[in-house]
Amino acid sequence: LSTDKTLKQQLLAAIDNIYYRSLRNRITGYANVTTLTILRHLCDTCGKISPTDLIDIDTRMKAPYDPSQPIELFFNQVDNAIELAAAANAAYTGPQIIACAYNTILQTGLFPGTCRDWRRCPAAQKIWPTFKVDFSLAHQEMRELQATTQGAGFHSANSALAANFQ
Amino acid sequence: MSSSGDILEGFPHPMITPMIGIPTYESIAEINLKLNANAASIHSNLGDDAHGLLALTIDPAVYNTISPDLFLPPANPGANPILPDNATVACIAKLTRQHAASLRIWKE
Repeated sequence: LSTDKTLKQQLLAAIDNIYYRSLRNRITGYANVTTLTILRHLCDTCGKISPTDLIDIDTRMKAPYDPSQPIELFFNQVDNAIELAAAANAAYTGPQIIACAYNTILQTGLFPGTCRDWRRCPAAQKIWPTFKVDFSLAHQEMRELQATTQGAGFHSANSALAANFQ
Repeated sequence: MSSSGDILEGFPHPMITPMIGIPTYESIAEINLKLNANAASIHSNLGDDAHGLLALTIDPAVYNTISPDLFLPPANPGANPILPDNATVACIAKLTRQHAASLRIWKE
């Protein structure tokens, strides 16, 4: 209660009351209105996300991931979509998020071991934070492996071999 | 029970810059992000014990994507504990303790 009241005071002070006055009770003011209710009201009335935006959000969420880039960019892409879809009252469910992220990662073909482990994971453990941890580690290992093989000269040896074939 | 001032002092964003003009999704999201940080900074055993009171400022649908445990808002335990007839002293003491704890959680 006290935390919600403090957060509500901050929110009310930050935004002009003209945008949420309809939530005000004539007798009790905003006493029985929660912070989340005001935020939802603001999103519904002023921060409306159109159906076209919603399709764009979905497309951006499913955009292919370039493994040469930090995996954080991919996670950020998914997190943004989760947040925007929720603001548009069309929140993704946990399994939808996981399915979408898993398919995008699988399409890279670079993490077969982690993908296999993930498939074998119990359903209760298949949540987005766990997914991020598992695939962050996989991505880190892949980069370390690449650095090691390049450092050991295998990369140049392969190049020489390729040149010989040509 | 902490006062509003004490709670505010512990927030990472004790001051949120007032927004000028008509709110847009971006400006609302920016304020929401600061409120999220403030809410998450309060320690609470509700939910998964790792996100504080974040559920106060984000949709339950989003909260469920980041936390394995549902956030169940505490119900008002009432002014006094409900004591059964013929309750022993130990039982009364236990129920009183539980009621005090529930009341504290509800007020936090």
